[in-house]
Amino acid sequence: MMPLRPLSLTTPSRPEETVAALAAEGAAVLAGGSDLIPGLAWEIPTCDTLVSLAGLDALRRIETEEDGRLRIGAMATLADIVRHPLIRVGYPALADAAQAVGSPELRAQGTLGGNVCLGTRCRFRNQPPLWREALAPCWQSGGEVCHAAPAKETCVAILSGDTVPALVALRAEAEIWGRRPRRLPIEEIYTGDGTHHLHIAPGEFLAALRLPAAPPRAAFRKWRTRASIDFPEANAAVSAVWRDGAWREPVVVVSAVGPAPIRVQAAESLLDGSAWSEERILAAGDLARRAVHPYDNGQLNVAGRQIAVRGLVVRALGDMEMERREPVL
Amino acid sequence: MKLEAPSSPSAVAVPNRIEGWAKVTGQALYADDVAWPNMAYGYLVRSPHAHARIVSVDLEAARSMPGVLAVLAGPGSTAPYGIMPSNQDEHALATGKVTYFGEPLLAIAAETLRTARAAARAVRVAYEPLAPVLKTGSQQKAAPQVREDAGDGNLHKAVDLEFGDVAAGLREAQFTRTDEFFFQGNNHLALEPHAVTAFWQPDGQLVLESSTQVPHYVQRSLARALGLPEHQIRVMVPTLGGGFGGKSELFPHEVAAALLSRSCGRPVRITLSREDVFYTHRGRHPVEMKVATGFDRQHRLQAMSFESRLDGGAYSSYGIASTYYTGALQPTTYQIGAYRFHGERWFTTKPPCGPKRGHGTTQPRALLEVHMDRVARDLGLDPIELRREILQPPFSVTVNQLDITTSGLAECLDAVERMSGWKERRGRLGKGRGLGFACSSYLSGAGLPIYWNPLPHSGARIAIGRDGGVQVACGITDIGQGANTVLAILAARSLGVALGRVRVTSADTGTTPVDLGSYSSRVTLMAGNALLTAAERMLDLLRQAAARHWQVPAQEIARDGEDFAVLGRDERAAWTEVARWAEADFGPLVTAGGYTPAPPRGRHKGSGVGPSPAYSFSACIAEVEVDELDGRLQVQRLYVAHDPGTPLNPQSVEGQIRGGVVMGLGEVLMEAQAFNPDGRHRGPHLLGYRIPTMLDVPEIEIAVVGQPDPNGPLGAKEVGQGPLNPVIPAVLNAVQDAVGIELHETPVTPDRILRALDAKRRRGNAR
Repeated sequence: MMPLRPLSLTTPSRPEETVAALAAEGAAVLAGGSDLIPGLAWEIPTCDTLVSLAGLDALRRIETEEDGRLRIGAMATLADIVRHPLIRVGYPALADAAQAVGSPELRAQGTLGGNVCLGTRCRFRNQPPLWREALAPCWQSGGEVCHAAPAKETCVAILSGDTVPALVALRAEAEIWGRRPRRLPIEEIYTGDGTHHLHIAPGEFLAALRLPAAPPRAAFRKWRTRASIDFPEANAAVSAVWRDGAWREPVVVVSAVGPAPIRVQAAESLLDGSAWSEERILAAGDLARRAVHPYDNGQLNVAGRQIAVRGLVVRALGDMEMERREPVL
Repeated sequence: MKLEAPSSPSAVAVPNRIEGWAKVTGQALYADDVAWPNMAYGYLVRSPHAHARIVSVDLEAARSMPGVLAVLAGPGSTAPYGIMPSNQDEHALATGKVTYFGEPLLAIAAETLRTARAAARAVRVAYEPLAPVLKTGSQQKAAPQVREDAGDGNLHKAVDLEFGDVAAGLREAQFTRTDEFFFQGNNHLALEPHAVTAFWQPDGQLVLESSTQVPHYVQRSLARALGLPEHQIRVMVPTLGGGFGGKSELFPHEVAAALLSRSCGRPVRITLSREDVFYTHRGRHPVEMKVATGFDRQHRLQAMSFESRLDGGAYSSYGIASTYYTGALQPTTYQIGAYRFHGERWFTTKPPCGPKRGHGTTQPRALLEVHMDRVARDLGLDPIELRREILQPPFSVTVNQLDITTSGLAECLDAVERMSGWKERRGRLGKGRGLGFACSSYLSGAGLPIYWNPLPHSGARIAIGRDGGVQVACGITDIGQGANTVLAILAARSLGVALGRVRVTSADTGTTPVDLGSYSSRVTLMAGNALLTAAERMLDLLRQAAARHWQVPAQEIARDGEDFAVLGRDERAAWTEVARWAEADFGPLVTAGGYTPAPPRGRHKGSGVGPSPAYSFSACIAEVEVDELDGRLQVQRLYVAHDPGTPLNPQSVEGQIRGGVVMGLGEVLMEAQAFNPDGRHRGPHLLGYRIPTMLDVPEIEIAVVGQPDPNGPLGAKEVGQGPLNPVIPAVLNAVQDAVGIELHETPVTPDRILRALDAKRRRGNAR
C-alpha cells in the first residue's frame, strides 16, 4: 500500500469552469489517471490540484462531423477506440495502436487524450522517491543535468504514447480548448523538450482529435520486450495514398525514441510516387534507422532500439504494400 | 454459457489443495492481513546510496512528530547474525556505513503508515558517499573494501574441488572445447512481498507472525540477534504467498518489528513494498562461468573443468552454499572421468544475493547444457544422442561422490524427443525457427542441515482425537507449493482414512516439531518420511487395541476402507471406535516420527553441498522462432519431462512443473536484477523488472516419468525446483539452432538479439 499525498480534485461540468480551474497555479488535467495516479504514488507529478475532465460529457463522444471528419473526444477510452466500428474500418492503424497500449484494464481506464498527452518517461526519473533522493535533480525535476545524456541542455525523456505515431500518420488534428480554442496538426503539439513536451498552455486542454474524412492507408508497429503491458521502446507508423498506380504523400513517423515523434523525410521522399518493392522498403527502413538517435533512458539498449526502428518501418511499409496487393476487405 | 460450479467446499470430492477454497474465496489470511488491536505500523529508512559512510543521524524531528511511537537507529541487534554459521555478518540496521542502495539503517513505528513514512522523511542523515563496488574478481582493481569485518579485499570465499586428474584428461582428449557465459542475477518475485507482525506476550515471549519459509532458522537467528533464549521466541507463518528462496533467512524488517514492538509496547507490522523486496533481494547470483571439457574417441566425457565467479552483493547470506552449488550437480547427469571445480564469491555494493529456485545449480546448468550443444554441433552429432551415451546411470556414484538412486533421466530424454518430434522436425522447421534441448537434475533436500547437528531434519506428530479426527503437526511451511496437502495425503493414505479427517498444523515453532524449512526441495521427502514413521507407530497402537478388543493376534487385524476388521471373522469396527479403544488402552493417542538422511559418502572439504537422499531429473525441448527483423524471440512451445518419483498429488506436480518452467522462461527471456554504474537498481518495480505475462507463455507439454524412489515417502522425489533448470539452456540452444547466433549471457532480450544478428551479418559481409 502506497498512501498518496493529499490533493484536491475538482470535476467541472462546463468547459469554462475547466479552463478556469486549469489556469490556476499547480493544476493538472486528470483524464483516465492510469499513468498520473501511479506517478503520484512515486511523487513524480508536482501538481496539487487535479482537474478531472470526466464531467464534460462531450469529450467522451466519437462522432462523424458534417464534413465527414471523425471527431474523437479526448476522454474516449482506448478500449472505446479499439472496438469502435468506424475506427476499426476507417482508421485501423489507430485501433491497432490503441490495442498495443498496456493491458485490458489500462485500456478500459486510459483515454486517447491521456495517451496523446502522456508525460514523457525516463529510466532516471520514473523511479520511486528513494531512488531519486540523492540523485542530482534533472532538467525535468528542476535541475540542470540529464543523467541519460549529460551533454544535453534539455530533457530527452521518451514520448511513450502508442497512439501518437498512428495519429501523425493519419494526419490527425488536435483540438485544444481554452480561452481561445484552436486546432493544429497533431505533430505540432509536441515541443521536442521532454520537460514541457506539449504546446498546451495553462488553462488549455486537449479536447478532441479529428481525423480526415478520407484518410490515407496506414499501418502501426510497436517494439517492446513483452506482448503486453510494456511501454514502447520504439514505435512507428506509416501512411500513404494509393493513386494512379503509385503511393503518394507518404508519411513515415517513428516515436518513443525521444520527446517528440520524428518524421523520416528522407524515407518519405524515397517512397513517394512509386509502388514499394522489397528493396525500396528495406532502404526506407535503413533511412529510418539512421534518422533516430535514442538515448539510454529506455529499458532496452540504445543500439537495439535503433536497429529495431528499421524493422518497425519495414514491417509497417510491408503491411501496407501487402494489403494493397491482397486487400483484406 | 452456464457455469457449473460446486456450491460449497464439501461438493468437491478430492481437493487439489486443502487450502484451495480459503485462497480462492479470499478467506486465507496472509501476513499483511493479520491484524491486532492497537497495532502500530513500522517503516524502515533505507540508504539512498550504494556505498557511503554514515556521518550523522538526527532523529529529533521524527521523534517529536504526533503519532510517532518509536524511532530506532542501528544496529538494533545485539549480536551479528547470518544464516550460515561461519558467516555471522548482518545486523538489523546499518551503522558506520551502508553497503547497498536500499539498506535499512533506521526503523520507525507510528500510529499509521502515513505517519511513519512522514517521519522517515523528517529524519536527517548525512552521508559521505564512497565509490560503489560493482564488479568481481580482477575487474575490481583497487576497489574499496565492502565488508570491513571480512579480511582484506572483497573476495568472500574461494573453493576448489578436484576428482581425478583433469589436466591429464584434457591433455589426452580427442576433442576439447571451452565456453564462457554470464548468467544475470534475478529476483524471486513472489507475489506476496515480505510482511511481519511482532508482539511481546505479557510473560515475555516474543511472537512473530512472518512470511518466512524457515520459521526454525528465523527463531534461531533472532534469538542470537536479540540475545534471547530460543524458547522465548515463537515464529508462526500465516498463509504464505510464494517464497522461491526469497524468504529463507532472518531479515532486517523482522528484527526491527520485534525491537519497535518492545519499544512502543504494541504489536508492530512491517510490510515491504515491491521496491523494498528488490533491495532485500537474496535472489539468484549473477555468475561468470567458464567450462572446458575433453572427450575421447567414443565421445565419452573424459574431463571437465568448471569455474564460476559469483557476484554476492553486500552480505554473505547463503553465499558459501551458493558457491559450492555452482559446482555440485554437473556430475549428476553425466559420467565424467575427472572433474575439477573452482568457485569464488565476491562482495559488491549491491543487495545481497542468496538462494532462488534451483539454488546455485541453475547458472552452471545453463552453461553446461549450452556447451554440450556446441560440442555436439562441433562433432556433428545429435545433441540428445551425445548425452545418451554418457548419462549417469541409476543407482550409481558420481565422480564427486554423490549417491544416485532412481533416475528417470533417460526416460526424460525419450519423452521430450518424442513429444517434440525432434527426429523428424529438427532442421526442417524453416527460416528463423529452431529446436533446442537441455537436461538437468536437482536435489530432494540437502543431505546436511545448515548448522551442524545430529538431530532429525524433520519431525512430525500425529494425534487422533476422540472425534476420530487426525491432527498432523509438523514444522514445515506451505509456501504455496502444496506442502500441507502433501502431508494430508500421506497421512490419509498411510493411516487408511478419508482426507477429510486430516487437519494439518504447520509452521509454528511454538506448537509443531522442528522441520528445517521449505528450501532445497526437501519437504515432501523429509517431512513425508517423518510423517510415515509417526503414522506407522500410530497404526501399530490402533492394531494392538483392536487385537486386544477382539482377543486375536495383531497380525489378524485387517482394514476395510477406514474400518478395522478381523481376518476370516465377521467382526468390524469403525475408525473412531478403534481410536477410542486405543485411547482407553494407551492414553491420549500421540505418535511422532523424525527423519535424518543417511550421512554423505564424500569426506572432502565441501562434500556437504550436493548430497541428497534422491535426485530428480528433467529435460526440456524449446521450440522457438526468432524474428530477424525486430529481434523478437518467440518461444512457441516447450516440451518438458520430469522425474519426481511417485507423484503424490498429480495436479500439484503439474502445477510445480508449469510454475518452474515459466519462471525459467522469465529468466532466459527478460528478468534482470541489474544496476546502474552508481549502484542504483535499474528499475526496482514491475515496469523496470519484467516478468512474463500470460501472452508471453507458450503452450507447455508435460511428461511425468520415473520410478518410485526407495528413499522417498511412497517413492516421491522433488518437483518444486528441478523443472526450471533445463528451460533456460533449451531456449538458448534453440536460438542458436534457429538463427545461428551463439549467445553468451542472459537474459536474451530483443535488443541483444538484434545486436547479435547485426554482428553476425557484419562478420558475414567481411568474409
